Amino acid sequence: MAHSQIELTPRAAFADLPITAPGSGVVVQERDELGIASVLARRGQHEALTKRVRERFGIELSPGPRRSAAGGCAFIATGPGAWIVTVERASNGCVTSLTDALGDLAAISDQSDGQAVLRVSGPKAREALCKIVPIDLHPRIFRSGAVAATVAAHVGATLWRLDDDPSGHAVFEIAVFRSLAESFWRALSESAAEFGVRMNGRG
Amino acid sequence: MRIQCPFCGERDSSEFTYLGDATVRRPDPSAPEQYFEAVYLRDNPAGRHEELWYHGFGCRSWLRVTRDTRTHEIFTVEMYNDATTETNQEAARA
Amino acid sequence: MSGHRLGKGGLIDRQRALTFQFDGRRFTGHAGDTVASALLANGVQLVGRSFKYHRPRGILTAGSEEPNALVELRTGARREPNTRATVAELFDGLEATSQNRWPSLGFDVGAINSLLSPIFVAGFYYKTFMWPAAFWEKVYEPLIRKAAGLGRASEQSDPDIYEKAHAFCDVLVIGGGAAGLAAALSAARAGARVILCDEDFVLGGRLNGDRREIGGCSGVEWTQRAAAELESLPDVRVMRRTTVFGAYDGNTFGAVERVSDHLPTPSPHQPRQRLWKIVARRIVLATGAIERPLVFGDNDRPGVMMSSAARTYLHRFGVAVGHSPVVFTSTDDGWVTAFDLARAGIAVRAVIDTRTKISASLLSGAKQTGIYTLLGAQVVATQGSHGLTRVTVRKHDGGMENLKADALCMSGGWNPNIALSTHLGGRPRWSDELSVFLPSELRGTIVAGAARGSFTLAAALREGAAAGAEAAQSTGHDAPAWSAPTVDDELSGVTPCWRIADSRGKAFVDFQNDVTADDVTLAAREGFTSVEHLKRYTTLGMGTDQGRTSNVNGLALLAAATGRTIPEVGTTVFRPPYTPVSFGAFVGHHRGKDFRPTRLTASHRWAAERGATFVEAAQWLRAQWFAEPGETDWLQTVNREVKSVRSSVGVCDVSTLGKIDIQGKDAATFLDRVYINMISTLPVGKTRYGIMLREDGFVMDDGTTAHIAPGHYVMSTTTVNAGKVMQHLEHARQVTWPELDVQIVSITEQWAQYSIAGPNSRRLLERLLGGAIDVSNEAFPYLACAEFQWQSMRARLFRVSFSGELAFELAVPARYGDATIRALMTAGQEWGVVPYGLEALGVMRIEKGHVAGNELNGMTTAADLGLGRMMSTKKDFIGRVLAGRPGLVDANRPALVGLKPVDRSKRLFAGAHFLSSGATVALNNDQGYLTSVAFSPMLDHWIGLGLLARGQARVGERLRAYDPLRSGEIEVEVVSPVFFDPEGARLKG
Repeated sequence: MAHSQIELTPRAAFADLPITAPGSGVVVQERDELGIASVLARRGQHEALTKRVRERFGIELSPGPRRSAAGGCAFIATGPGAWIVTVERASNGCVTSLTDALGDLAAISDQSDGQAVLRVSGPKAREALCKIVPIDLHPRIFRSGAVAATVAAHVGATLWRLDDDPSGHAVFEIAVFRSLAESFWRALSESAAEFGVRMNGRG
Repeated sequence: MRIQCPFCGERDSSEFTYLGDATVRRPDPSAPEQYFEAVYLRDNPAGRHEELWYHGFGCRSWLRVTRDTRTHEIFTVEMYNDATTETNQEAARA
Repeated sequence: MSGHRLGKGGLIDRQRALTFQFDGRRFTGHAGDTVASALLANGVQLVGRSFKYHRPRGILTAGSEEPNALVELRTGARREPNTRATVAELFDGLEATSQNRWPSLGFDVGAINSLLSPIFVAGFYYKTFMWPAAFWEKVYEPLIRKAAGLGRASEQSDPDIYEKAHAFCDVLVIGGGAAGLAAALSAARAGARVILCDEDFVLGGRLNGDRREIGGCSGVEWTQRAAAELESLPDVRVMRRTTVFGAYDGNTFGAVERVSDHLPTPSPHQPRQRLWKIVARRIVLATGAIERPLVFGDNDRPGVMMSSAARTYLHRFGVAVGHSPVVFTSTDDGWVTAFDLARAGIAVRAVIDTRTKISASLLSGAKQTGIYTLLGAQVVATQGSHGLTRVTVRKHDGGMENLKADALCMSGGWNPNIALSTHLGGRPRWSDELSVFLPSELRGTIVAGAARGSFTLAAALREGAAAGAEAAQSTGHDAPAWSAPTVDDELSGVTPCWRIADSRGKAFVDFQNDVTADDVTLAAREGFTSVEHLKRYTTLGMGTDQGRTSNVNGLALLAAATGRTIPEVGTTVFRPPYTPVSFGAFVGHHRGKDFRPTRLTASHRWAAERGATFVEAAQWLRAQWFAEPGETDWLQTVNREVKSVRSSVGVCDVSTLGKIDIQGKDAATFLDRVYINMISTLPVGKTRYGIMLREDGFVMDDGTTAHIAPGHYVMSTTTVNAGKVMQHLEHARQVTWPELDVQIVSITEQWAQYSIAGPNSRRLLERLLGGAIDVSNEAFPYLACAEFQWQSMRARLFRVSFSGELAFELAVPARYGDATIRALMTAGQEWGVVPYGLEALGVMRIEKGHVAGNELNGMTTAADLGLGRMMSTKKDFIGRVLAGRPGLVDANRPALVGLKPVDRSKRLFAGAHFLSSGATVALNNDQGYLTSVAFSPMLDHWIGLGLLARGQARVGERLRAYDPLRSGEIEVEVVSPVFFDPEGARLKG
């Protein structure tokens, strides 16, 4: 019996979601290409893990809710001994390589498909986000590298701030459960509608 | 109400869930007679109360919060168990 | 125009005329007007009818405390009742309608209530409509609702959008009058993050309604400069049209910003209103004061208004409230109104001052302006049908004098606006010196200006500046010293006068609720001497105005009636909201489809294309069934789905079940402690069903756990309990056994998971997976699990079955979920694969006697569900001890059984209760109930699961299933809960 090699095409979490108010106040970009894993330190291995991450990834894990990044890999602290690790342009090797590097010190679970990540930037990003996120986003308070595990319009979310874009505007990324992508998008796009929304990487 | 989560910082209480008295420990399994009291007999103090809160919409930590039940003033918030400060020795001992 | 608009002055734009309608009549106003000021400018005094007596009412105030001038604004879907005309901004084309009158405002049938007033006294609801009881719902209430009540809400869906937002600051200044502006300026200059909120559409508070000088310029100019400075600072947010309506714990404040209320319709993508949750480190409460009315006969006649309001209409709106006004005062402030009116060229008919002695400067002012002055005198009555025409004054010598007047400006002193200070339980304290209630000390809050009883402008500026500096300093910002500017002099003498004795006619205390001075004394006589009782018995202080103008007068009258002092009487306190807030603002984005978030599975799009009917399961939408063309009835569809699965193969999305990754050295020990059965003996590559209890011994959830790799487990939970189980496990891990090395994380969302069930499921998988994994019974027996490489992904396969058929669950990374379900359908074509939904799944699990949500209801034990033998005796686990208490091991407890209707043609209904034959229908004869029912296409009749006292011991017995609401009574037979394939041969094939 000939086995049918049906070609499986992946589908992005935010694919085909509508832009109802085109404009340039808020710019969003789906980060579908990110490899994502949760990393949970094993009991008593927090220090060792910090050291190992420094050695292997050149990343200094600072205490508290911070994002530390180097070379396309970022450790986003979401809780004590808990991180979301993102890897740029990861193929399926993201979890394997993390497990190889850290598996004895941390539990690694693939979340590349579980978390839907959206980059939110543009001159009005803060104004739009403040309608759905109960976090103080003031530039002096929520600085570059800040992380907040929180709730956005009744949806559990992890928010972090990257370095500003070349025009000096703040850049955020926000991760929600994949199944909630559409509900979250409806809330975000309604919040951003008054400023106009543009989606990067979509015609 | 705002709760100063030791990890996340100050957050609205809607991110947390409440689970009552934080001083109650699960009794030793060999002392079944203590279970009824631990599960059912809870004090309901007017005033200072040490209680458990779970930061479910945040860092997922269980917290020990000391709060005045009359005024909602919060005196202290700490991790119920701070895993990040445990050393290898402790882990080995356990 | 009837000439009430003065030729100059005011903060209105005289170049911009706006037309509007009131009760169908067309009028003209100006940009900057409120509905109230525009009506007054057009000579309209009568704007509404009172709540109880339907008395004609006019405009009493110029602010949000207005009790009378409530109108319906706009029409159609945007119609909004009970809008205070005194704060509603005029826009071109605005339509307002008076309320609570029939057939018209001028002639209102309900006004007969006024003649019947002896029965409408305090507590009239309680006294009049007591008997017969049945009349309340059918007769009295509809009648009262029609006669009383306020405006009518639109019955159409609100076309506008509303949103919520969060703001944070060092210093929140509430109130944008002199004190608030000074506070905001000094805090902002110190570098603090400041939010300044004011409910009005222009800042300045009383500075707009008075003619004052600050630092050599007018109060209005000073305000504009202050606003400009504040708005130029990056860390300051000035929020006009924003009412801080509630104070909440943790320095959290609720505020509503009326983004588009002043526009005919909101601009594209703009909300109508925005609800702000503001978290402040320090708060400056600069909410000012509210002038209190004088309580005299017929003090509610249109044309009678607050003295300060008359000044506001004069200075801010350029409107004369009358051509021949009188001022009735017990304060120096009333005189300011008289002088200001006179200076504007209005012929002030008289000033009637209750005091016998007033300051020399007032006397000389009166002499200079030539105003007729009566000291030690009181207004005891007013006349005029729809508006004031005459006032009756009792002079100091006892003689009476009638004065022609078309407006009466009353000034009874100022009450600090302390509402927000009481929201968190702060008790106001009485000041004997000022005869007012002052706010209590509040954590993190500084009160400044009139809100704390400092009624002069100089004090407001001084205290505001100091409060702002202190607030900034305590949030880490060094405040430069700022000396408040100098201001012109003012007098602020008051001699409180709580009630004008021997008034004629009704002397109103609470205008909105039609509570008179007599009502208060009557209530006291009838024993309602506590303020809380007074409020509820008379309704004094209730309604949209929350008694802003009436409370203190009411308390003073109660004190007098009971021979106590005001502090002895005490005061009621306020609760949020400060002024009414629309539901739309509270709901924000979350209405209709967005009422709560919806979770969609990876196969959702595909299922929708297939015409699936969806059902909510927790937040998820799950396919309930997939109707084929020609199917007319859901049962027909479900029967087909079940038969197809049992005869060939079907596919069901089970991604919504919770999936929890459990790792760590002690993972097995941990699982042994949270499950009643042993998991530590589970080898790698195997899956086991498990039950977890709460510590009280009842079942919390069930599911399977797979040992996917050494020390690495994947637990599944029910869809609805996924979050609860996660919290429970985190509690066990962090609180109960922190010494264990266990890491847990939800991976529910990572995997799209499909159940492939039926005798042809293996063939389908072989076709689909093309040898990526050996799924033969030898290589992959019942309860096997494995992770394997399939095309470019890591996939997982579990051999578990809820349907009782040979079945597999295939898990793929969620981004491949859509492609995989389509591929499954293609691969299964040869065997006529069907997609099946939650309903068919339910039928099959009932046929197999598997428990689900209806049985896992938080009140059942493992033994009740026939799973008692799973409870290990070799280890401790959560719930073990209390599961063994006498009440939970009682053999008489209801336990799981199967049920068939004796007459196989009968339908069963879940919820029917079991009665022994011959037993009367009574609670103590209750034997349990039907938890789940289904039509079994395999057995061709209805079947059910139920919880029956003594359970399995009664197999073979016949019972009555009693369901008085639907089926009546059906005879049922007790059977084993496993209806289909009791040997379980099919799933092991």
